[in-house]
Amino acid sequence: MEAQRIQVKLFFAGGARPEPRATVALFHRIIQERLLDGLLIDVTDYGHVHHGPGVMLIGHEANVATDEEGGRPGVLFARKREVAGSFAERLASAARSALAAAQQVEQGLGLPIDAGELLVRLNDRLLAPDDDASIAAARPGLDALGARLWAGAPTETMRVGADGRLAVTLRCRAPADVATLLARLS
Amino acid sequence: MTARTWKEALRGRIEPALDREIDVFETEIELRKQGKLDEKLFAETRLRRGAYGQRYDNGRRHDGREDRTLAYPSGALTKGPATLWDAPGMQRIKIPFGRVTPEQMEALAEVAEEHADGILHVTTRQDFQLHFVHVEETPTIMRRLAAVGITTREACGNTVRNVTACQYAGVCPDEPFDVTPYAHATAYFLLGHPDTQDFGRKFKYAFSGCGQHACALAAIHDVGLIAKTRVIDGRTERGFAFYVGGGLGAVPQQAQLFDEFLPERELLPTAQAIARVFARLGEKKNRQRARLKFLLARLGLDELRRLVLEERGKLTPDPRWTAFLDDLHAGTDRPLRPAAPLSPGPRPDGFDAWLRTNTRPQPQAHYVVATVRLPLGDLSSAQLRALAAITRRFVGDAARTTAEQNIVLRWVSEADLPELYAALQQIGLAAPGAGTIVDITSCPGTDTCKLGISSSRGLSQALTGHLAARRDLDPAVAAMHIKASGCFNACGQHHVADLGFLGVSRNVGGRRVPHFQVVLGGETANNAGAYGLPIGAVPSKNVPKVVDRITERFVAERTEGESFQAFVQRYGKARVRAAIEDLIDTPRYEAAPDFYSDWGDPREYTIGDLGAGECAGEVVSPTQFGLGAAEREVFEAQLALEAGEAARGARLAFSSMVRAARALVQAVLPEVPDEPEAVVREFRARLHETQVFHDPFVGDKFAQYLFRVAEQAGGGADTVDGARQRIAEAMLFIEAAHACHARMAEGVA
Repeated sequence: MEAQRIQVKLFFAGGARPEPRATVALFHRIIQERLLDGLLIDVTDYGHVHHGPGVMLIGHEANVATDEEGGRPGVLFARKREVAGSFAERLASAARSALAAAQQVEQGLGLPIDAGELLVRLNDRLLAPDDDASIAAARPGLDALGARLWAGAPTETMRVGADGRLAVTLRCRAPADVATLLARLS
Repeated sequence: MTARTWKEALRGRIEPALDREIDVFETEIELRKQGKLDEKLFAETRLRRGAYGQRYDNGRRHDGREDRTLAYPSGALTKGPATLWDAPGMQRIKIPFGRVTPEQMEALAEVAEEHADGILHVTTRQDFQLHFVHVEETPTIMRRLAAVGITTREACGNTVRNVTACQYAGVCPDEPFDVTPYAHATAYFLLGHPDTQDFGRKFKYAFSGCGQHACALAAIHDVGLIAKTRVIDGRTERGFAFYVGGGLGAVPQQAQLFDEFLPERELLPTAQAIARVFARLGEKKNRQRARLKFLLARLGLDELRRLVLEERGKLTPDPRWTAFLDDLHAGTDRPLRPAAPLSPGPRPDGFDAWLRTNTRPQPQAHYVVATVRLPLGDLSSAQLRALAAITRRFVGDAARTTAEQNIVLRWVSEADLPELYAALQQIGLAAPGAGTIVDITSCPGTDTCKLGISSSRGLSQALTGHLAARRDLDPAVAAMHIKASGCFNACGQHHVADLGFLGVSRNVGGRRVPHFQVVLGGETANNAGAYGLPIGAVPSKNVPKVVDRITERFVAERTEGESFQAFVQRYGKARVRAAIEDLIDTPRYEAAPDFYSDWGDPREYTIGDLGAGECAGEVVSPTQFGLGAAEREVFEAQLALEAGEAARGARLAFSSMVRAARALVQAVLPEVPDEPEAVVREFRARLHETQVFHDPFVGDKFAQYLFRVAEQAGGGADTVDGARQRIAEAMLFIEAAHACHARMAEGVA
């Protein structure tokens, strides 16, 4: 799987929706205090767009957003630039960055994140269309990520793509929190 | 073999000339990366393809605590002067007359998702814009759009920009004929035409089906065309009232009538002729005076007309001039569903309010145009994709973007309206209030534009929420229009609103405070029939109160049936200003720190010395007093103009400029003289020649306003138009003086 633009989203527990103004302030603080890796550029607020990207922290390598697509708010990490390594390594790297961002949002806004579910989307309709070949190519990396995140507990992988891009959710019922998942990937 | 790039995947699906054009751009990107293409040349070539710069692309940003370098991996490599290679940019996408098909919507949604931030922004000129795009991804965006018939070519740069047209063309009861095929022919005839490649500045066209509505805003364009017919020998002939030289920006001008009736067969040759005259005689060195309006002012209408007609006579006939007239109905949208009336049955919640404001009857029985109101002109990729499906389901052919930053669906059968409403509601696009006071037009402002001074989008969002919460809005107030621009370039078209807001800043106690000039007297109707002028600057955070105060006064004091514009004329700007006088002052920082940050941005607005002592918060310098006096005087100039005393208005405007110049000089020379000649001399020596007064973006443009009038000893503007221009220039000079004073206080001038 060659796709580079990997997106990973963690959902807020109970469908909570962050308050845009507080999120804007938090994201500015993340820039000021360099609380996330990478070159962080600016903050933009799309809270007025129904089920849109929410508040977005624009970076050079990736964006982080309190995404509300499909009416399910969560923290979305979206890789934009190429990184080295196999698909499994790139996927793990994106998941690690998503968890780090989710941890900042969880702590900064006081909104718990559901650490039992992860959405992975390959934002590239050319290299990763939503078809059987793509899922077959991505499967080993997805399985490896699930096994690392939830320490080998049973996980469920489900295809959820609906717009031409490959998207899957990884779910695990074993209790966990963001900090634990992050530690397992570090 | 499976394609690994979009270039491979789309081979054979893009029109060859366009394909080649994108290949060339891709090569230019490589050459620039290798340092083999000059940055200025690359900047113009990318601009002509719609790839624009964005805020912070010089690699500097104040994060609210300190000024930071944005350390991009490509280091010092640039894509234009002071524009770093890796800095995110904006991609503008031309949509001629706003017509967009479902297939194109889907392609737009996909490129926004994969190459931008998943948001599509509709502009005031019916374009789409993507933000936060890396320049190296732009050729892929262009290819994917070209495969569905969209080009970004000449979306920016010194070229003919998107040709706009009334969104109701073909379905309007007040038009003599559908202008769509004419707008289409003009757009594609001029696109890449050799005679449009050597302009000193951009050139904008707009087509309107009628003179009285606001849809196309013909008067603010370089060329505005209004459909007309005439009967000759019993035969009805189509043509256009042909206006030239309109424009907004720092010094707005209304277009002038070049020809009362330009026959349809003369449309394209005249367009070609005027392009040739503009390319040959238009200003090339000073881009601040390079629009057609300045050439018109220099030559006069009669001479411009003579030159254009002379050029027209020399042109070699081109079959394209009239080929499109053979089949004017080829591109006409047709209904998908049968016409049927709205049934009297049960209706979804909220439907009636939406029906009232968001639909407009067509002349074709039982069909309506439905407006999809977009907050701040934005929609997500998912929404646009769903809107494509809705378009296919209810209207078939296409939707159109509007100058009010919305999207309209035409040929909706009345019987389908409840279903359409429900479908729009599902994707969050069924908000009522289209075309009302809550449907605010705004440029990108400080959100993404590098010229933005104040947050026009933040203000618009705050005002929308504020007004939507006012359940008691009088119908006359609801019918008003608000437009906001983040700076004097006026992309938010603030001159032509009932209530316009123009972003400026003020220095208060050593800190910068975001402000908006309140602009009154503008008119959207009659194709932007009148331009407003500012009555004073208020802190951004006071704007909602200003709107309340002015609209309450309007409701209380208006005569029956009186429009807001007529009210302002009768009631007088002086009384309106008096009603908001107490909202002009900025509270001390310690009392209201919120005033010192902009809407939607918690960072402290100032970029100056945050460590200023408490005394700095209390002392008002002579310079600040002087600038305040200059503002009062230029307001008196406006009142004089409105009283029919153009010459006095012009004199007061000049006097206000001198007063502002003197105030600035006083900051460096306490014993400043009083005589205008001496003030101008000292200003030139101490602030102009030292470049202290230079604006970071437009250089000495504003200083030249002062020098030009001073050379005429303050005279030379006795006409209404002359006085109006003098006042507009004086206001900009005073704004520049405020900005200069702030830079001086911060030690950056």
